[in-house]
Amino acid sequence: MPSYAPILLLILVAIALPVVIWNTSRLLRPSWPSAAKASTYECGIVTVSEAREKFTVRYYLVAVMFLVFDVETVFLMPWAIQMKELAVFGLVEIGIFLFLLLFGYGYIWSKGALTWE
Amino acid sequence: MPFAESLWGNLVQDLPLLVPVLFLWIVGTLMLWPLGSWLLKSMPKRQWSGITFVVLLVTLVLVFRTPAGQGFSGMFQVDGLTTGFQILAIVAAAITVILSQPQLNALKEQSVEYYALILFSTSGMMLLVGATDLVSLYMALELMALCIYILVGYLREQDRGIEAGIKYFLLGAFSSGLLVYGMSLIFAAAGGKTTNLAALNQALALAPRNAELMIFTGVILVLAGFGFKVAAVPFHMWSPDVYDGAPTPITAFLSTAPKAAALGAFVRLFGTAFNGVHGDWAAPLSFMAAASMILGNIAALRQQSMKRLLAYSSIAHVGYMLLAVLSHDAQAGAQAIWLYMLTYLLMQGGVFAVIIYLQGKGEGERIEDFRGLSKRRPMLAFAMLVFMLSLGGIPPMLGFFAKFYLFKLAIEQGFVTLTVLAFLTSAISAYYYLNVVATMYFKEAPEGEAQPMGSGLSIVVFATCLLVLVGTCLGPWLMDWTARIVLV
Amino acid sequence: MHMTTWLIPLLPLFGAAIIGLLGRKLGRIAVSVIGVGVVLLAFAFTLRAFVLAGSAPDHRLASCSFTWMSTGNLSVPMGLVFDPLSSLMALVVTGIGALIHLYSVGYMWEEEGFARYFAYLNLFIFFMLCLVLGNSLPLLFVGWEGVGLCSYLLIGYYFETDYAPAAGLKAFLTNRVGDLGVLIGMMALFAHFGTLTIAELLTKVGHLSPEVGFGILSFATLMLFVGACGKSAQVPLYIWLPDAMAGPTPVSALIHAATMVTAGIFMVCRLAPLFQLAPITLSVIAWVGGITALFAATIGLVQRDIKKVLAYSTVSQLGYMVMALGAGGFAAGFFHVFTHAWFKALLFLGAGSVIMAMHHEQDLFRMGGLRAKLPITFWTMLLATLAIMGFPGFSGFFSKDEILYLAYLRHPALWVIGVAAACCTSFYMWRLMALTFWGEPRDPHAYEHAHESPWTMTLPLVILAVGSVVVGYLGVPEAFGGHFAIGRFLEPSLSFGQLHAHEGHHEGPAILLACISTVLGLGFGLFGFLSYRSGTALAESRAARFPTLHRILLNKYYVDEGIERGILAPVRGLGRLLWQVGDVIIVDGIGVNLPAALARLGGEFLALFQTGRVRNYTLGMVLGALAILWIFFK
Repeated sequence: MPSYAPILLLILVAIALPVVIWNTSRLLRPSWPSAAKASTYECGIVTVSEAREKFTVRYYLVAVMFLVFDVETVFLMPWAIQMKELAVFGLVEIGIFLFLLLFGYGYIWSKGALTWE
Repeated sequence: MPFAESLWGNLVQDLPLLVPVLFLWIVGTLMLWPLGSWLLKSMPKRQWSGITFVVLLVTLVLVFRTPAGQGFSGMFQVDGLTTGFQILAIVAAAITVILSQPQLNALKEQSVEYYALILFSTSGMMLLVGATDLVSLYMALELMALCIYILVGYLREQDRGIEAGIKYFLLGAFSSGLLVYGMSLIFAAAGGKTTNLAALNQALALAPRNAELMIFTGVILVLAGFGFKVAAVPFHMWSPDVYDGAPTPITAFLSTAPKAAALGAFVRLFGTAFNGVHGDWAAPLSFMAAASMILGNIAALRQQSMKRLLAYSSIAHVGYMLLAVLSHDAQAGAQAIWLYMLTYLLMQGGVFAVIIYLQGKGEGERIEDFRGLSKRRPMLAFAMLVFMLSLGGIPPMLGFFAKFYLFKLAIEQGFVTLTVLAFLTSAISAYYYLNVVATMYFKEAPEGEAQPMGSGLSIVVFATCLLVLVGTCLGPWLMDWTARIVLV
Repeated sequence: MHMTTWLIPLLPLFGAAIIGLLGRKLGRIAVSVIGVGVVLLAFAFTLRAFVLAGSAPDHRLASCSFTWMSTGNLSVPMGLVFDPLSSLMALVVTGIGALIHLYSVGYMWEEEGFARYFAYLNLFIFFMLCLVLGNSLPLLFVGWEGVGLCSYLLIGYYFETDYAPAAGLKAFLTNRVGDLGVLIGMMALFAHFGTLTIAELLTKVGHLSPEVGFGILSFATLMLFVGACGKSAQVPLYIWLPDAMAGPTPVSALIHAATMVTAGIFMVCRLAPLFQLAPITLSVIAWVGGITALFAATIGLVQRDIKKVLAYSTVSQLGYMVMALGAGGFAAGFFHVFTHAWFKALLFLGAGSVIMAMHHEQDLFRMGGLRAKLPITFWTMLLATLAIMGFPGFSGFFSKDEILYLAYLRHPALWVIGVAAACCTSFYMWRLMALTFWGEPRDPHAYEHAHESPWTMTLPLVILAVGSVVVGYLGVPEAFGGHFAIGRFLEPSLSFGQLHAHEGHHEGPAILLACISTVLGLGFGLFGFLSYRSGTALAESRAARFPTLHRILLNKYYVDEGIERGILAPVRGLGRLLWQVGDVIIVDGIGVNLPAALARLGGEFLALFQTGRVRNYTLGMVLGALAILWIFFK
């Protein structure tokens, strides 16, 4: 299967590259470890707790909502470009699409997902 | 603008095929907002089950009125198989809705979302059984499954419920991955030009010889994906845990509706698209069927939890039904599955109604809780007896009729060894079914009395029990219906 | 039309369901109204079907049927057929059934299980109608088994006693022997003709010529006759019927006298063209019938229990009917079924009335002088007695005479047997009447409190009495200037092309024979009456003179004891052997417990894989898919 050879090559290279780089740098660099150096780097500020912190679930909600509207723009973009060709049909389609999103928006709103306190 | 106009025309022309599904979508969406969470906010939540039930009835009527035909560029088709399995899905959903009402009341967990999710999931099933394209098939499958993931983990306060939900979601996502990967391999092997099932069949026949491994791998992966959905061995491991952890009405739903829909799509996919490569999947599928029958029945023997028992027994029943999927004649297979699934639906509905009935004080989960039921609630015990006998396939119950029809088909199709195995394992199943009966009739009742829960349950128990009991007398009528499951 | 005919059997079923399920809540009045009402309605619909069938061109009305089951080349239709035979029988079943239901309201009013009783009784009517109206042998067999079941349930109605359940069991088991015969006969017919629909079967048979030797027809018909022997209590399977008197008296009247026990005769008539072609079977039937008639009649001479006397009388009369069938007189046999239904039901109901008046006393020797106390019962029973003994002008006279004449044509010895049985019949009937209604009251206390029964009980008595007198005129034999109308009426059902050869041509000896038998019968009747009119002293002295004969008769020829020692004891021994060796060790141990233990172990093993961890499950799926890929790729 000659046609798959480049892919195999790519995989090999991809695996080899980090191994090579990491080992090279380890061999070349000086190594004087200390407690301060080994600790997590956080914008130069002293770390206060573990990295695995619990976030309030609202962040996720916001993230999900953001995703929905993000995807919305992904759909709106091509329609905007092809608007003239698609004409009424396209308008109705995108209208339905937006309408559905609007329903979802209404739903989460009335569910209180947007109230933050 | 001819392009847009033709799109518009096609849409208008094809839309009638989807009227029941659209109806479910619109009603479900409206239920969420603005009705459920704004306009009718002060209405008692439990009334939504009644509304949902009516909605499902209307959908049923719409299904009956939907004309046969094909549309959406060959992505969706309404034929006998579609209509028949859509009916199964709706009936299963309707039973679930009735069962849910008292259970959620007792747990104080009523909400509009629950019922809306059932509606959306049902709509997914309705699309699934009519899907004639890999893409629409996959999309429908996901629509169905996503809603069920949430429903399984619906009881957020219970660890077991959440665990089940997450487990089901993770494994489901994984199996979806297998399915899509398989589909993509098939698509590629068939020349990468079509995803339409009928066209795929032709394309696969013309595929070059060196694509054989690709086709085989693709078919097996798709088989694995469907095997997961219908819980066939070795892709069954989720089902006991999920059945156990899910809210009981959802367990009832899970063991009937998605199974019916997935089996319908299974038959259509393998009967049309993979018809030409029957040799590729016949042996693996018969292995899966045999393994399901054996494992399901044997593992059920030692269960103490009623829901786990039903989970394993459901694996076994799927094993029997896979015999029909194997059939060279996809239409006959679909008919046998339809009949079997119909009776299975009634029996499961009844059994779960009884379980929920007993769950008033946390009973009903364990087989032990059925002790002395014949003394405490003789009618209920009798109904349970009927269901158990029917599940065991003992004449003259309806279960026997369906099993007989299924096995007859399998014999006619030449799967003699598998059918003999089915008979033998079916004999094993009598043990654990009758064990429940023995517990009800010959063991002393524990102290205390369960609270009866709602009249809807009694209606379900009564109706299903009656149907299971006298259904065989409706034989000709049932056969008449079965004959309408036509695969175009 | 279609709907109403289906309602005929379904109405009683419906009644049985309602009463059976809701009986206790309904109360006695509602139960009575439903129980009697559904049968009356069924009677009305039957009457309508009867009239419509009569006006149909071929005297036949088939209610549209559907296929009940279809496997291989066996296809069993489910449908009703009304032809002269079945519609007449259905009229008897529903008509007399309705009267007995009405009677039961009075008779059973005080009983604990009033609703249960009516549920069973309605169920019985349903199954009997299935049997009678069914258009295929399987449907007939369903009815056949169903009436057996109801009979069992009703015999064992007083289940708290010892003897009633035992009697029910005996009836059931004895009938099973016969049922096996019916099954074998059915299978033989199916194997040979490939159909079990009665009409098709008879059409196919119509093209055959009579068998000369012993062939498939002889075999099948003999097997069917074994079934008839069981149901219609013929020698040697008659033993259950006397014991069946343990049930309530109206049940004895309806099931064990008027309808169910005649099912065997009905079946033979139903398949008459088949039997006509099997001469060997016919002669077996004739002799079995004759022997039964005489045998049972002699036992009846000495019984002291009023119902036992009637029971043996029934066996004897059934023997008569069977003898008629064997002589080729299907119409005559069925005619006797018809007349017998009236007067024997009446006798039983009358006996029930007496028993109730005497506070459940059934011993004839403790009755006496009840004539004045129970006038209606007395007069109606008198009419019935005249009918059964064949008093000229009463119904029994015509039907019995026809049978005796046919027996004579078949073989003079059969005639002699028949006349002897008739003499015995006259004797024991008049003995019964004399002991019950004449003489001094032998139990003064009970006599004091005796009183006539309520109208629900006497009304059926009167109606049945009228019937007992007049129904005979439906079939006045040609010897007496009649046309044997019932024979002509039944002809379309009983023959396909070939008319019954014997019937219809009454020549010289007919009247002479009739005179001889009638005079003898009257003489013996008078003898019996005079012997017992003044009490039991005369009878006891006579019994003392022939102690052996009396003992043998009183113990019913020791048949039950013989069966116990000769058949049941060995069978029980064999059963014990099979149980301890075959069942406990081989079947239970090696056959059941061993695989069960293995299966359970397998379950334990499989449970090891159900860890509950998602990662294990995922691995399982992947390994499964890989295994399938690995194993099955060619």
